[in-house]
Amino acid sequence: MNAPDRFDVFYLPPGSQKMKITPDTKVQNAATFEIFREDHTMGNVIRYKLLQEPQVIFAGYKVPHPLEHNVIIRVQTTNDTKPEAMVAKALNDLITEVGYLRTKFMEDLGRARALVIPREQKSMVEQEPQMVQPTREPVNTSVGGTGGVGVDMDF
Amino acid sequence: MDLFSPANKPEIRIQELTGERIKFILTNTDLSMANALRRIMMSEVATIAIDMVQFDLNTSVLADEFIAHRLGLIPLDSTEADKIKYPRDCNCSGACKECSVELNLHVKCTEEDTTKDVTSKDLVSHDPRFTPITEGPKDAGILIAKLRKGQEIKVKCIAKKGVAKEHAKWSPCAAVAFEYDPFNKLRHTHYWIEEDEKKEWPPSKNANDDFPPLDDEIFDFTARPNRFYFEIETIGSMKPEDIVMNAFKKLLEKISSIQMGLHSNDVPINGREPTRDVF
Repeated sequence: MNAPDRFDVFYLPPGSQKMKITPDTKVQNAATFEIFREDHTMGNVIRYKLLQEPQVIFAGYKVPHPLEHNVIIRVQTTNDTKPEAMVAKALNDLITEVGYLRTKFMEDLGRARALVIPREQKSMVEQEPQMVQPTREPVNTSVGGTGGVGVDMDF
Repeated sequence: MDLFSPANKPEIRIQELTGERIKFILTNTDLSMANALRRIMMSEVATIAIDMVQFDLNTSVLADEFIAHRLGLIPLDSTEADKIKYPRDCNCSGACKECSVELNLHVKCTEEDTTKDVTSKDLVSHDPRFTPITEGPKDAGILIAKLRKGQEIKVKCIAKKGVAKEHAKWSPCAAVAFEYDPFNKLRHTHYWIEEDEKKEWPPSKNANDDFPPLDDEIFDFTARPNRFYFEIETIGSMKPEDIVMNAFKKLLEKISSIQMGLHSNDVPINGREPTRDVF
């Protein structure tokens, strides 16, 4: 009947605003950023990046209501800058960090893949999973993984 | 903060990689970053799953919606899920080749005194890229229903691309294990104990890769978690490493969409023009 679409949780219709910026009427250099169709995933991570900036006096986020899929971030900065600039910088830094992590993961994947039996081979001969020995500190103990996990769909 | 000062360079170390699971340690980053990665892997990596089922014939003992639900949960190979459109982004009215895959199931039991198993192997996909997954030729497939003599199921399934935020059937992960601080040095958890904490709460497997506390270690209240242990198990629709790769991609997409939202924010609010000269 009047139920919203299932994808309403994360999908913003094309042409609609992603973010609404409301400058604080009483405090200087403070604003709230309402981001539509985002949740703790982005709220928390943006807050973390904002708090790393020395010019940020306050940064916090909340998801005001579980049925409204928006997140509110409040930022207050020093007089040297503006909240919008700090959020823009935080987002830029996030892209750098995630991009860096992604390349790191891809690099390590090459090393890890060399030690793995191809998927098809593995399913035919039930072999133990190959361990990639952790070469980093502190203790070189590999934890044994179990073999294939079958899904029991009996009813 | 200087992201790339040597002391706080984020690191990822893969510890174990098999066909169905990946184990890695993420270091020198924040809990929120690790948690974002975990949340996205669980609920925002796109896969293909059966979303609509048209029953032409169902004389089995199971109700239509019961079978439809079971069909929805069958993992379909989603390694090429990015080649297909989301149904809401497609120009077609219902389902077309660009936004959906048709699978057919037609089984009739003719055996006299045994039941016939209807499994995921009986599903015939119209697109060879998106088929129900199997673990080699010996795999019996996933059981959908059992039929007695004379009973028949004939259905047409439409599989679509989606994310687990909409329905859990689109999740590529069976389990995502996530842990930090196995020795509870940060005291983020409080153990309920009878007599001896060490005896009653043995350290987890990840403790082997962490730094055990000294016996007389003083509680450092400024310490923050910076070593995160992940273990991702796939349901088979995607390789575990692809789940992580797609999660990174999705995270980057989400950040850029917010960035775009910030930069396109020209509308004056409360009669005040937001300051924009900084960009």
